[in-house]
Amino acid sequence: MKIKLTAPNFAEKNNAGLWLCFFRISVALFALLHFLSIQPDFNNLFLYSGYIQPDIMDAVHDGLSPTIVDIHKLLLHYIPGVAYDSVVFLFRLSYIIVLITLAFGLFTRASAILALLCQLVLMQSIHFFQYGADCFTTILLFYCVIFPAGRVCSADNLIFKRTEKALKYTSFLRLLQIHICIVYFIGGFDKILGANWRNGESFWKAVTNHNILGIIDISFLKNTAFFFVAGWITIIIEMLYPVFINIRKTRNMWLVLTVVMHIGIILFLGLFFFSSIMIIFNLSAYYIPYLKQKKIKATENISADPLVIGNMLGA
Amino acid sequence: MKKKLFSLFAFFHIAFIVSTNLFNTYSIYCEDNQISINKTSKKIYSGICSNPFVASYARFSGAEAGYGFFAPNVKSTSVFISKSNDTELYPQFNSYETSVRYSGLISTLIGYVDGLGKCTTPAEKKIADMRMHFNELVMKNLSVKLLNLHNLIADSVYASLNYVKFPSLSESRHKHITAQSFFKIQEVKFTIK
Repeated sequence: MKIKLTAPNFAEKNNAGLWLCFFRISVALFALLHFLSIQPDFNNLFLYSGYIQPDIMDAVHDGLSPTIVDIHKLLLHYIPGVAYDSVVFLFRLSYIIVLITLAFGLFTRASAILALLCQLVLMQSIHFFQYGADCFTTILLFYCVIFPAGRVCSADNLIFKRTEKALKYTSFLRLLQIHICIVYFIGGFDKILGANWRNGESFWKAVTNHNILGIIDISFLKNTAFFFVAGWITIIIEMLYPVFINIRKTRNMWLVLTVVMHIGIILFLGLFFFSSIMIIFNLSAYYIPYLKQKKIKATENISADPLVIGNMLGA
Repeated sequence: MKKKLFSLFAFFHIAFIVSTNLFNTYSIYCEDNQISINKTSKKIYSGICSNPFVASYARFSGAEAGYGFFAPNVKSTSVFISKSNDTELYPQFNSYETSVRYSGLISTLIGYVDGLGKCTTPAEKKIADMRMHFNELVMKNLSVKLLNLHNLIADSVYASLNYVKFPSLSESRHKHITAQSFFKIQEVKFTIK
């Protein structure tokens, strides 16, 4: 049995579309894993039987975007007696489904819009429990909405037999790159304003105070210059990110330094998902788009032949 | 045409992100150094951000987010302590991610009331009072949930929000202090009938 697959037809001969494909799939899978990770405690976070009752949290919500409490109140006008838990379940299930369809590139734009809306509704409903990883999920899902994320490696292309127009993806990539440069520059700039980052106290505080969530204890290095140097290295990596990541010769080195910094955040602060989404952001903006042409061409040659794909799948 | 529209959108999107973060940085800097914020810049920024269209756009695009993580200084760890008849009530998590989020919750609650003692004007004091009452409500809610999780029946509960003060790097080096201490921010005692 031979499976006939259409190879991803990149609009440009280089790897222009590949980063978009990586971006869509990785963001969707990240959001899915992040959401699945709270499933064992889902009821304690979202329901009235949880740590904080939803209407108490809602009392201090800014009202800029709807929460599940708002939607439940609205639905009660149309469907009297509808249970709050049912509305929560609806969003819980919908979010998982639209993230899967987004990852596959099925009805991509609609999936991205629904994923963004579900993410906002769910996370704003527990806004007291939000942290940095949720903000970046919103940002990247928003980019999945406005970028032509379904143009490459998508189920949409296969189902609708869509012939790809010669789209230029550069402007979308530039927006992503400028955004991540701002993120790091501001992060570094804010740190240099604090005296304690410059003398190593903040780095010490971060790895000792927040060590309850971390994996490695490095407090035994307190009598060395480690914390002073590490504080300055953090500031330098972040503040000079926009410069060195945009110079071809230093790009890979700076990318490695940034990824290592995020791995450090996982090990010392235990912020696994926050670091993961930042690594995805970095790879999408500055690694995948610059993969060497040779590698891409080799991959394209293999994947362009339906027979080869059929054989590879063990048909 | 599409490309021009996208470029125009991208320009405003980036401009919004930059201005939001610069204002955030400036506010944090002023707060950290006890300098009063320039009223004109605050008025202009608040005017733009209070526009419902702009505010909604910022929420749905994620452009409202500030990027000064762990800056300008790292905050102390926050802890919620709840006791009933000398039994400490600890939260029980089934996933690591929930414990991360729970830490965020306690930090948010402390951030809500920390520094309210500095309020001077009647309007500021009114807001401070409301925040204190709100936090009390949340602490009671949380304590009752913890009682239920521990299958305890109690008539009186004590709860408090605390900063954990770990020794600084210099204290640890020169004074050899290793013990942590708790710094109480807010407490509540209540009975369950």
